[in-house]
Amino acid sequence: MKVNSSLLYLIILLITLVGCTTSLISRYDPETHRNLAYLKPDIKNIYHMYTTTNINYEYLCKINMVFRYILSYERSKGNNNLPTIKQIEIIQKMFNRHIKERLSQGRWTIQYANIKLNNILTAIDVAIQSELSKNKQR
Amino acid sequence: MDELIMLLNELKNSDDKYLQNCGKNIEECIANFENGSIPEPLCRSYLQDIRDLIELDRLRYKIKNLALAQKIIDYISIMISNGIANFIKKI
Repeated sequence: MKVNSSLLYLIILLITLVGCTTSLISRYDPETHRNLAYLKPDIKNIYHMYTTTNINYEYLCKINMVFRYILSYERSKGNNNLPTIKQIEIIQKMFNRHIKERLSQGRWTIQYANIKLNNILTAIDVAIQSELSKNKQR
Repeated sequence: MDELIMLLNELKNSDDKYLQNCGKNIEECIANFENGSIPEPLCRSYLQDIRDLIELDRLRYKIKNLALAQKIIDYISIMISNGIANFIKKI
């Protein structure tokens, strides 16, 4: 009987271990949510700046640093966070494409800046919604 | 071009409002380009944005479905371990 009990404890331990390691997707992280939400006001400022002749390069560098920080934070969570990493990479690429476009084509009209701003804010909102759809910590 | 028109119609008739909007925006952009309201680089850039937004939405669905599957796995694991624990108590 003692042997049987030990065996059952071992089975429970194995199931628990399997349960812990089987993680299809990372859990909801308030830090990720906060990082993405904090990005929005800065992005708005930058896109309004694109309608003027002055470009604050320091500000652009700062936002790029923020993107890099967010990406390295997300990458540190491992492979089960790949869809979120991919989402942030897409947003960063979109942002960099817009900078390149603004620098090569010159000042944006207010209407065009609003269209572009709307696109990038929608992209950030989709990433926030995705984070919110993840399961909370047990 | 026929395939693109077919895809746009499918997008516009999608159940998903987000995708419906993307379909309408693509159509508007192409129409504006055709009538000369916007130059090619702007149209290209706008279409690249829409492509990225659709890709982001695809990933959102993936995350949502994986989270649901994860929840089911968690519940089954708890159920199994509770069941075995009860079994031991009976012994």
